[in-house]
Amino acid sequence: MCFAGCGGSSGSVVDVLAASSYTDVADELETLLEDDLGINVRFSFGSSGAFLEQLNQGAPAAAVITADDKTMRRLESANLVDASIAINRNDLIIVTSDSDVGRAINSLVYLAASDDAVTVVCADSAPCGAATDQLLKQAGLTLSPASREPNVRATLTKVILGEADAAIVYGTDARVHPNLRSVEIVDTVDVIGRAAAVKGKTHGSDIVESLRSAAATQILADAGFSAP
Amino acid sequence: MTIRPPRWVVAIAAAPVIVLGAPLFALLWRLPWSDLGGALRSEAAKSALGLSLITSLSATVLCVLFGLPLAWLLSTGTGVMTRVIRALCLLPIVLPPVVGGVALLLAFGRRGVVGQWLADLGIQLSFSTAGVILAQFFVSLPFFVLSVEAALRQMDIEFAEVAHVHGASPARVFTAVTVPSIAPAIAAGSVLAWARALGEFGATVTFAGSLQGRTQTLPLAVFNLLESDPADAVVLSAVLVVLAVAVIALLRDRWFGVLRSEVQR
Amino acid sequence: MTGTRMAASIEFTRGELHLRFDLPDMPFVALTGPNGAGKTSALRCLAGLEQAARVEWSDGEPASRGYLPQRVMLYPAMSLADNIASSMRFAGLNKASITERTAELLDLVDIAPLARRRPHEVSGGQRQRTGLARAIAATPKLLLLDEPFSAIDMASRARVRSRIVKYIAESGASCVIATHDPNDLEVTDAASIILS
Repeated sequence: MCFAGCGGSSGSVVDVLAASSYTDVADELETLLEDDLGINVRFSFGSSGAFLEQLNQGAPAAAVITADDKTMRRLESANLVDASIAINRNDLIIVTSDSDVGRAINSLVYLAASDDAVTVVCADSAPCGAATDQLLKQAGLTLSPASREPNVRATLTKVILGEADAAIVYGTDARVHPNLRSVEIVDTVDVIGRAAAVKGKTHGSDIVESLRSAAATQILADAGFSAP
Repeated sequence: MTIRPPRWVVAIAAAPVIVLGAPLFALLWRLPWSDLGGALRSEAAKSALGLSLITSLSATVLCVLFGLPLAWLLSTGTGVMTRVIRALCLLPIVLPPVVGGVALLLAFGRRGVVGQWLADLGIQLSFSTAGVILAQFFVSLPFFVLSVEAALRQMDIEFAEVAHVHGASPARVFTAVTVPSIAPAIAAGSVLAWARALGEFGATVTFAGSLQGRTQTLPLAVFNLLESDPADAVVLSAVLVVLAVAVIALLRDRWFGVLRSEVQR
Repeated sequence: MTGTRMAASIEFTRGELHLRFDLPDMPFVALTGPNGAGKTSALRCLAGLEQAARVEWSDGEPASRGYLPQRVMLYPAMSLADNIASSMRFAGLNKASITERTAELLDLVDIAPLARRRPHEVSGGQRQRTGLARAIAATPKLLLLDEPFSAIDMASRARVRSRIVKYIAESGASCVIATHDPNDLEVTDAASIILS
């Protein structure tokens, strides 16, 4: 499908703000958007929680993709974006390191009860962290994490480096690092990724329409983002 | 006669004054004065402030205890080893703080070069308050050592010579004569080190992580609040500004001074 | 009262300066000579401050030394009284002795009212008196004084000089004075060495 501006990409770059969990699908999505719309798209990543202030201060993004719908609702009620659409579902999972302590972890209940395991989770201001808090509340468990990292990738890094034995991250993050052990969470919590056009920016709504397409959904599915 | 700068020089100087002054002015202007009490009384704010003060002061004490011998060593040494050690001391100033944090992880993290031995002993520095102090010590030591070494080099060695002839051991000379006469430089170096430790973010968040009450110092708390409650972030930022002003007041005009004795004749 | 007499042979070279002389076995020795002749360097050699120097002592190195450099060098962070006490503290005397002798010496050089002042708060002459007191305080075996009375005002100089000389003579120490002042030579009844 070709909307306005067909025939080769224009020179200037169009920015899209995306939650860091989309880091590994960004290249493919950028190519898709460029082919579809003939514009030069560039994704920049951060914690969804930071987007409100960034857009408030005038960050030059045409579209924004958040990891959960709570953050998107805040952007919508601040009148920074047009109505959003759901583009994927992501769930929480435990990843562990290959240390002895890590390999012994087999469930969320075990993790919460463990005295040895060094666990890290996202800060509550990040969608992943908010979802983790919700998960623990639903399960009636308490966890004493060693740290609450600013975003989900930082959380994952601590386990990769071996500093932490376990982390609660998104399923898609676990897939990116197949050498890490993942432990499914019974009755896990989902987050819904949403995309919206930033008000007053050209190309925004086109980008959102492209992200809703079958091709985009397939790219996301291949990376582990299930259908919304 | 003081030769005053011409008006065009004053005009050029106005630019940096505006660049430095505008953010400070804006911060105070946008401060939600009516919400101040609530924001400051929150658990997060109180624990961040307490933690920041405890860790930064501890790091400063470590800087003085370890920095004085190091500065003495550097001020009297002349060989290659001295130059190498001095370069090592200056490294944390040049290194971006996050890079420093990564390096600290590789050295003192659970799988780090030194850290793995500590782990065998049951000591984990990453994710701990001790780790915060270590990160702050790492970044602030150079400021103390630089200030004190400069003062030691400027000091008249004849003071030490008199004490030596009167029978004082080198250590006695250092503590009884040298240290008191460079006291202003030690004070200035300590204050600079404290200021750096207080403001430390990158190395801390990378090495020690961020957890309220254990590792979330004021700068980390501000960063966290930016995403959930920007107004509170502004309030905590103002607290840091007040602390910064206190630092400047402590330093007054004595940045790298050495107490000069009057030349006798 | 007699004490050990120091005799030594000194050899020292730095740049253009070549020193070679023998220190006689006398209670007072004055080093005189024009500026640049090496009086200060000679004293520094005797003080053990010049590592390149060759100093041979006939009876072994002096067990203790007192030193007053030309620039006096009172410790700036200490009061005058503490400066005087410093040499005694470094020598390990007990607290009571230190307190007693400090008071005694403050009177000897007429600066008792200034005891708590800092060096930068007093005159050059008062600093020099303090430096003298500090040098003799721990009764060292060898006393090295560089132009020790030069900053003291003319009216008081003779008095201070005679008191100090008497004190040193009573203690039995050997004293080497570098000086320009011929009066120093007379009163001390010294053998003098002219350096050139």
